[in-house]
Amino acid sequence: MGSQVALDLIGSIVVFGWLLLMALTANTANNENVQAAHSDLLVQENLVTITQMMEYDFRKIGFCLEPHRIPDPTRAVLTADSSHLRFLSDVDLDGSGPDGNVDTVVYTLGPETELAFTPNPRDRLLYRVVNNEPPKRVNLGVTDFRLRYYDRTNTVIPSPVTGADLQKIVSIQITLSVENVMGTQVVETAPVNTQYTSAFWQQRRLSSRNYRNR
Amino acid sequence: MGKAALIFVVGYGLLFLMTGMTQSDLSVQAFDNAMDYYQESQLRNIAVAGANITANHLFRNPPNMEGNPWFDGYTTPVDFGGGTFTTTLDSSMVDPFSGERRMVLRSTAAYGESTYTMMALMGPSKFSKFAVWAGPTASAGAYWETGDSALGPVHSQGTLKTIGSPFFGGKTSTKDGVVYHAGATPIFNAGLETGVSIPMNRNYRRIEDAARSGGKLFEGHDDLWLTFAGDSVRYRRVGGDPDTTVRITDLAPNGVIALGARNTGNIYVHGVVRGRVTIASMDTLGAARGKVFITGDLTYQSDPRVDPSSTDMLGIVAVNDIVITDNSAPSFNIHASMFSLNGGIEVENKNSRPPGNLNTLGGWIVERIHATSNGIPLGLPGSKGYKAVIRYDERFRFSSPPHFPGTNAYEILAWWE
Repeated sequence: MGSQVALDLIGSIVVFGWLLLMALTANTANNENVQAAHSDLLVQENLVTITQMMEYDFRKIGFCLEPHRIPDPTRAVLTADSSHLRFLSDVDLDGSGPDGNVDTVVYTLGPETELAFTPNPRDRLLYRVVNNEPPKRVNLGVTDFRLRYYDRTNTVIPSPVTGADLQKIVSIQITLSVENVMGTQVVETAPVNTQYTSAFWQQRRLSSRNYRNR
Repeated sequence: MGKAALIFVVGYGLLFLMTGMTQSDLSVQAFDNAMDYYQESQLRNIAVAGANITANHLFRNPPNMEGNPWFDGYTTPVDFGGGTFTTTLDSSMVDPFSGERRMVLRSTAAYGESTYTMMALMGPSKFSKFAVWAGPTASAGAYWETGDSALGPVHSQGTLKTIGSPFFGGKTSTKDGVVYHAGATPIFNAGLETGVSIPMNRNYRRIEDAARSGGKLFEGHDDLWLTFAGDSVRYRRVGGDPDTTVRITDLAPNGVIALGARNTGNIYVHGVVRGRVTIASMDTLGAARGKVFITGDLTYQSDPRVDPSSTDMLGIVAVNDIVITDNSAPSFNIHASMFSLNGGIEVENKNSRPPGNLNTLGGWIVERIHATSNGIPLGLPGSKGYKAVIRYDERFRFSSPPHFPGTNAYEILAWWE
């Protein structure tokens, strides 16, 4: 083996090493991209799930298959605050449709401390409680849940809405932000950075038709 | 070296291809997700549009009213918003209180491969749904004053005239606004809406038909004296004659007791009512006829505010005034929804009778607003007559006394989407 062969070997090792390094970096970047895309998808799915559930419930505020059980739908909202809503409705509890009995539905946002153990410091539990059943704890990464209430002239009713003002509510603005609970680690930066994919949704004016009945 | 490089390039080419496919797949899933949401929204919108279009037809041509035939809905798919909708109507549900049929409107939307069905319950709209409805001539009538209060839906088809601080506890609407006399400060606890027109529909004559078939129609020239005593009623046509006592359900199985429209007289009534009854004074021959005189307290045997299961329900219908006779009592109690086609609630001797409250559980549906007192607040020297204290019977939001005048339209009772 002459010196030329040795030089060739060294050269090929350097080139190979360089290529390998490039490939590994590209692989890492790809993995991060895939992970980020997965994270985006997860957040989007969570957001759609929550919004569909809320739209489904909120559009039925004041509904009852036996209307005499909620004689005045404008009184169906029992408590209303910026991140808490309690109302009367006839919920489809078993998938067979409304049963004509009045149910109490609560939407409320839990404190951040409840989910202090998750990597995301901002995620909170969004509770949906029907009647007095124990709250179900499902962490979908909600970081913001805000409600604003409007009267029939589209004027904001200050929160918390109390007393006779509850009857003035005709539409609700819902703002929701969802983030990835676990986050995506970006290793290319030093120190390692955790990014939380987020999605934002706002329903400008959601109104239950039942407010305008009778 | 050449071979290794080739393997290297091909290997990484495959790796990037797989990554690209995964990325593409994720993008497609995200797009599908967004499309599902869009599709669901679109489906719902189409179904709601179908329900609205059908409801509009029902409002304009109410089936089984004013000679209109029954309407089955749009049973053939209607193209709308890139999809189709069909609607159906049935009258299978029944109001548990009045026994009247309700309509169930179902609207089914099809969009792509998905379908979605929503539902609306509808029932005949009755004037008893108001705590107060005052006609256009209310603009020329009396003022609502301090001490007067109305809890429940209030509407004036003219102006709502106020002086002092009357209290309106329910949703209040007027066609021509509110008159604030001398700095009046009326309290509208559940909001005020102006420019709203809810015209009177004069289909009250059906009551006479209902009294003739299934109820009790008194004809011939004479007044009618009624004393309710639980599930019975004592009646006579001529003052001084002995009463005839009969069970309400035997006298008028459908609950309607009416004094006919042709040359009859007035009704005088008081007592305690059990069951569902409407009394009507239909004589149209002059302003002195077609009145109902309430000669003493007229109340339910079971007060629905105490017993929510109470089925006692009274409607009073008069072509002209409903008169609160002077019985010298410091307060007067009426449990009924009162409908006066051309008049109002007239308090006899309002300027001289003892001061107090005219307590109504039900409603006033009147053309005119008469003064009920001499205008001096209760508790002050010189105060005479009654303050109007109207408490809405919440059951009237969804039910009504038998054959009570309707608006000739259906209204939505519940909306499921």
